[in-house]
Amino acid sequence: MTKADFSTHPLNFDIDQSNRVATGFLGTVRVIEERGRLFQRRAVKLDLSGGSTTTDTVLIAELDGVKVYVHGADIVITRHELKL
Amino acid sequence: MVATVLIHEKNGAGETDTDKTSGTIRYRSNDSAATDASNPIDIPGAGEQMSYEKWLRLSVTVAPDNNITNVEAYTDGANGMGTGVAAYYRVVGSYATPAEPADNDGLTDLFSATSGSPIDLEVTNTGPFTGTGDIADYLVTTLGVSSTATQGNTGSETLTFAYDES
Repeated sequence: MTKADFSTHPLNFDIDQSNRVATGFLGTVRVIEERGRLFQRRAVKLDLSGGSTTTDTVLIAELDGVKVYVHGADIVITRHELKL
Repeated sequence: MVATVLIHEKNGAGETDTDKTSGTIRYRSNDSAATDASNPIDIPGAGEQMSYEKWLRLSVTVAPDNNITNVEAYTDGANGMGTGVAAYYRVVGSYATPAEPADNDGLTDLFSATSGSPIDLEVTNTGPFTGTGDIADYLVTTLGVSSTATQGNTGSETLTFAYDES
C-alpha cells in the first residue's frame, strides 16, 4: 500500500454518489441543496531530497461560491481557494 | 471507492514507469529512475550544468467514485536546495525520452510555482478524469547547477501534487 492511498487517511471522508453526504471519523457533513456539492482536495508532497512523502486531504463543501473546508477539527468558511 | 493516485517517473524511449509516490527522485546526469550516487551532476567551472530531465505524471490505479479534476503542482516558493542550485520546469502533453537540456531556455523557475500560483497540469490533457491510467500533463523538471554550488546532496525541498476528487 502506498502512502498516497487516502482510504486509510484519518481525515478522509466517504462521499456518497449524490456528492452531498460525506462520512468520516469526525462525523457526517451534508449539503442539503441540490446545487451544492462535496469533494476532497488531495495533496501528495514529494521530498525531492530523498525524505519521506507525506499526504494531506481536506473535505470541501461548496454552495453558491462559498466553500466550507473541513480539515479535522479545523473548519474554514470562505469564497477563496485554499490549498494544502 | 477512494481513488489511488501514484506519481510515476517516466524513463527511456519506452516510457518505463517507476512509482515514486513513496520514493525518492534523484536528479542525475543520465536518464534513470535509480536513486544511487552514480552519475552525479558535475559542478561546472562556469555557466550552468543541467541535469537530465525528470518526467513526472500522475497515474490512477483505482478509479474515483466520480472524477478527478484540478490537477496542479506547487512548491513552498523558496529555493532551499542550496547556493548555486536552481530547479526548473515545463509542462508537456506528450512524452519524449528525457534529455539533458543545453541550458534553461524555455524553462520556468520551479519555485515560482506556489499554492497561490500553482502549475496547471491540465493544459493539454484535460479532465475530468474518470477511469484508471495516466492522467493530466507531464511535469518535466530539471536541476541547474552553477559554479557556486558545493559538493554533496542538495538541501531538502518538497514538490506538492494536488487534485480534487469526488
